[in-house]
Amino acid sequence: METDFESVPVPGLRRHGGIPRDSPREIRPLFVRITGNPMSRLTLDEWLSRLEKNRRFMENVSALKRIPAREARYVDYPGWVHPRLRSVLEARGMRRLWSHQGQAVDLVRQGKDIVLVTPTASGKTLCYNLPVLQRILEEPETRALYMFPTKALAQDQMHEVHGLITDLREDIRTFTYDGDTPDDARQAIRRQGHVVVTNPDMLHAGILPHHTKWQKLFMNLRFVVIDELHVYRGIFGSHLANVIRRLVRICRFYGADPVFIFCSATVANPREHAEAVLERPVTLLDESGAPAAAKTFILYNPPIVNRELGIRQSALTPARNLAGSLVEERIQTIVFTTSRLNVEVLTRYLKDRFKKGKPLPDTFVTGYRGGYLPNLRRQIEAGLRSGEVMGVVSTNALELGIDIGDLEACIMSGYPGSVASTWQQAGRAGRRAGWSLAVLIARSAPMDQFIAENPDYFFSRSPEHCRINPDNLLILLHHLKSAAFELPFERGEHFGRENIEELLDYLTEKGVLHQAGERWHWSAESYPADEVSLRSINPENVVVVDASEQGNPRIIAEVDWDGAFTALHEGAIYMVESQPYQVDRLDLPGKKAYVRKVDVDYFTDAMTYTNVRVIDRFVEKREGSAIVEHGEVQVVRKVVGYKKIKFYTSENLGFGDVHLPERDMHTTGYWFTIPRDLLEALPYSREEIIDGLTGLAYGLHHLAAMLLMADLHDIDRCIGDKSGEWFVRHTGGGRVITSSPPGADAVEPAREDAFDPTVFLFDAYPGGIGFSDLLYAEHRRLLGSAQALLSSCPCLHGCPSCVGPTLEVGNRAKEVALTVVNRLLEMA
Amino acid sequence: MSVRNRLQRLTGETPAPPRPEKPEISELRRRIEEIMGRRREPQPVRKDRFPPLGEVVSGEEIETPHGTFFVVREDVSGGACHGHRRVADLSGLDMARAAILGNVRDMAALDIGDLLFLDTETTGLAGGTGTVAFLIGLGWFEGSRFVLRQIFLRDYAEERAALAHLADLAASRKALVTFNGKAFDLNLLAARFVMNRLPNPLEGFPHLDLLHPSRRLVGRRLENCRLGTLEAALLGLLREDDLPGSEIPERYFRWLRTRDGRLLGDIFRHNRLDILSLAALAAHLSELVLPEPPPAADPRDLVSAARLLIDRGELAGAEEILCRLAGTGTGLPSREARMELSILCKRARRRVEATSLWREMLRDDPGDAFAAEELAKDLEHNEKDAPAALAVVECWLACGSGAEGETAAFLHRRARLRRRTGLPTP
Repeated sequence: METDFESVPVPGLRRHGGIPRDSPREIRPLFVRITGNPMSRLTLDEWLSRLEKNRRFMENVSALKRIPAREARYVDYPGWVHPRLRSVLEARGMRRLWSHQGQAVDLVRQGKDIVLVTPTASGKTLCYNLPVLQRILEEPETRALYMFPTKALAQDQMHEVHGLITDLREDIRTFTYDGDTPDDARQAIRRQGHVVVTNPDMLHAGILPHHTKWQKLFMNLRFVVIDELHVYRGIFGSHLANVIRRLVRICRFYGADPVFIFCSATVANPREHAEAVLERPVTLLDESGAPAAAKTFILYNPPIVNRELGIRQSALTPARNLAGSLVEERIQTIVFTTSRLNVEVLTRYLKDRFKKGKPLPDTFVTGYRGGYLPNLRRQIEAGLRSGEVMGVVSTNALELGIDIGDLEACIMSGYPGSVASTWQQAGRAGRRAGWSLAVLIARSAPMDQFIAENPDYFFSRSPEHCRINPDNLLILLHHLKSAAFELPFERGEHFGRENIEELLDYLTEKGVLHQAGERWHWSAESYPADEVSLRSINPENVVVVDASEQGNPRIIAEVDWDGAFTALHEGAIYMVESQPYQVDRLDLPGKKAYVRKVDVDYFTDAMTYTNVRVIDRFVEKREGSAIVEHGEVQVVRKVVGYKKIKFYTSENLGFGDVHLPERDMHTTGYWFTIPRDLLEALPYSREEIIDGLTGLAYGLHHLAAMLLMADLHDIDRCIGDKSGEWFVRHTGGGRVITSSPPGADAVEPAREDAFDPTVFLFDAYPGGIGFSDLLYAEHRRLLGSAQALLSSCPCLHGCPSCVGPTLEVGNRAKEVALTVVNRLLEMA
Repeated sequence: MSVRNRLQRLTGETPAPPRPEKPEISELRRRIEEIMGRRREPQPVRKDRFPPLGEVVSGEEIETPHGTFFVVREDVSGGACHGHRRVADLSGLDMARAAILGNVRDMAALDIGDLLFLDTETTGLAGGTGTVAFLIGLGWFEGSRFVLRQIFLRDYAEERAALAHLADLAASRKALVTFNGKAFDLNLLAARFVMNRLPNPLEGFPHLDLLHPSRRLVGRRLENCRLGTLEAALLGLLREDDLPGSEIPERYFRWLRTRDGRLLGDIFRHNRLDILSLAALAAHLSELVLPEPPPAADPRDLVSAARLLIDRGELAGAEEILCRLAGTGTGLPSREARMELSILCKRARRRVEATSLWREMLRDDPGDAFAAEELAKDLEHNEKDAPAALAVVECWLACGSGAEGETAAFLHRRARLRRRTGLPTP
């Protein structure tokens, strides 16, 4: 996790004359506090004009864009729409359809698969509800399946279609079918539900493996709706594509051929993505006819507080000040931030602010993130709709279309990592009417800074690509097993692009399938759907148990397996709704973490060590003097310790040790090895070279993410040696090359000539997604961008915008990195 | 590189990695192994090494237009014993009582020969479309003989033919008897019919699932309601060297790989006993709900039977059982019988009988809260004799044997009665 290093004060700084002009406390826009009198509260408009007059604030604004409201474009209802359906819609105020709705319902009626890409609040749901209800009115046995990525969204949408049906006064039944559906309701839903609303996990584990119970549904299935398609990328998307393969296969068994309706947020390649999921052509509809509210969009870059080190004020600071000021005026605001830790920290700051003064309900300002239990999240969502919750701090969990009403302002503390996410988040403010505000506050990371300094680039930029790899062998294997469980495979059948006969034989050898004649049957006691979670390759979650009260343990949160290593190690401070708990014990095999309420003034941040070893080389090439390769790697990760960071001042209060096992995974990666003689010819010490390479890898990682238009977390980096026997360790005394395993106490300086310095960039998911493939092909371009980035960065010795914080990479990292890159490129 | 090689790389199965491997087992490989199931050694398929199935298990291959399958046939003579009963006696099952037992009204008008006893052995308990019933065990009565048929899938390809044969056999029957069939066997078979694109002949059959009546009648006095437990406690049957049900799927999988018929004998034997026990259990439980239950019947079961009959609206039958139990002494069943009987009488407005039962109960046990309360209520509201009611309450309280909640209720009643009778309340 990247913390906001920019706020770590360097001890002794004042003595060196690098005294910041303003201490962090003073670089706050001057907001006059108005004490709670409703008559004197500002509207958003007034608040904005006051902000624009604030010189100190405006100094650091790199762009202020006013996006005008957009007018609607209408078409008439098609002639085939049932008069009663039409009058119900007209009674709800929809006297005509927006242009994209008209197109969509016509195409669906013709049986064409479509993908709809229009902003939130553009009436997407009508595009599928209308043809579905129409068909049910014509043929009462018609069935439809709606899929949403989360239960909450499913519930939301169910109410909407239910409302229409109630108005229609027809006997049309819609139900949600998910893990919470009580057993006695399930049978009724299977037989009678016209519209079954579910999520991919339920389809995967609950419906498809029991498809004989759903005979009625599958025989009459005419429509499949998949909402929030953009969410299904990376691992999740690869799983979903396989679930769809299985769904289509089962439909074929029952003689059904439903039309697919996808809805997606704005991404660069929605049609390509939909076609990758469905594996057949899909028509794209991406011109919205819906009206849009006017929006003020501000790009804010916090000022530099330490020029020498290139440190900027933490993005959390203006975030909390802006949010606090807005909430004080009772302007409903959402703050997005980039990590769960930051959600807790920021929520804590805001709650503290409102503690002084007139007592307010605890829910006035809340946090929101995935680890919160479902009840709590439903409460918060309802509170947002009702206005009881005036301010919410969230991770991108609230990006999705859950109805949270009309918020007026959205503050983004840190670039969300993708242009698509940025517009999704900004779209949370002012959905339906009036004026709205979105503020993007840059952090020190290269991407943030790039955008802050090049706002036109951001505004003209197309959003990211959604990539999936449904033929990732591990994923494919899981779903092949599930598919065989559902229906025996016949010779000559296709499932994905791989030679499945070989895979089926492999599974037979392993004893889970049995071949009888031309068929492969499932032949094991287990239930394959239980063995895989769609959202990760590792399905286990760790449960957080509050053991503060003797004899009364309570579960307060859940964390995914990988996250548990960094958030729940012993000694970690874990926060829920900004209440800190300390982890007393982490029981990994039992998947439980035991915590205790504490009252401390710091939070913790784990330090992870990554090491990579080459398993197999697929291809290699020479670029100049470097050898560039692409292949399979083994990645070992280990949490080696943690920092204790004080609230508000962000001082480092100390370190702690962590004793946790390594996690390893196999994935695909791309790497290049720099010839030793090139490095030896440089006038730098071994340590400085390592620093430079570390800095170069940092820059390349960020640039690669931008190039791929992928999430920063979709790929990862490492400096090492191909054999995986040498690696870099950060010790108290600096960077050292050692041959000791990570975490060992003794460190032996290695014989330097045995070390082949290699920079690795690899897919962050087991089995690989296909990113490193692309990077291998673009190696030259990547190096060229790095050269440009390093030579044009205005910092002196290095900064988080180019090579990383100098506290981590040292003072010469930038210089060395640039030299190395220049050499690599000039010798090409 | 072939797909299999790539897969082996990913799961860490390559024999010689490029560099010396670290000793720690890869977490991924461990998980893959877990995921892949418990079997690690692939068994070679050597069909010729083992004798054909027909020589090991006494059955034969049947060929039909749908394909082939294997079946074991047996006629069990009326004189044979299963537990402490003769098969011929089982054929005397009272259909009316069986219908009441399972609340399957349509069964009352049928003959014993119309019943199809059914029990399957499957490849797992997970349910879902990947579970197969590889052995379908059936039984029915022809006169005093019990006919057994065990339809066996030697391989998955034989399923269609096997199910078609099941349909044939079911065509001449009219009702089903199973143990836990409602929750398991029938759902599974329904799925299998759909998977094989055949209509389900068992749908709509009246169905007596013996698990539920077992629970009601004997569940509270036995450790559990597993068939084996019921056999030992009720039927006098102790299985020797029986194959545990949990091992059955694995045996079948091994059979598929090796074709060693010796693996299957135990499964057929196990299934055979299951079906015979269905018949015996049906008989035993039905007898408990007869107006004249067998003399050896456990009184606790009889109380449960009476309760069941009351639920089913068979009040006369229940009363007969209860009367007989009520007079048999002072044990718990006898007391319970009197309690149930008194409630029966009270509901039928037969007050004299009800009150005399309560007085009897109090004579036997002055601390009987139920009897005391009912008697007091009757005296107060029907007899309009508040002092007499109060006397009963005082008597009970003097006993001092009540639980806290009960005592509080009685104290409350006493206070109220005192007020009514004009006595000072303490």
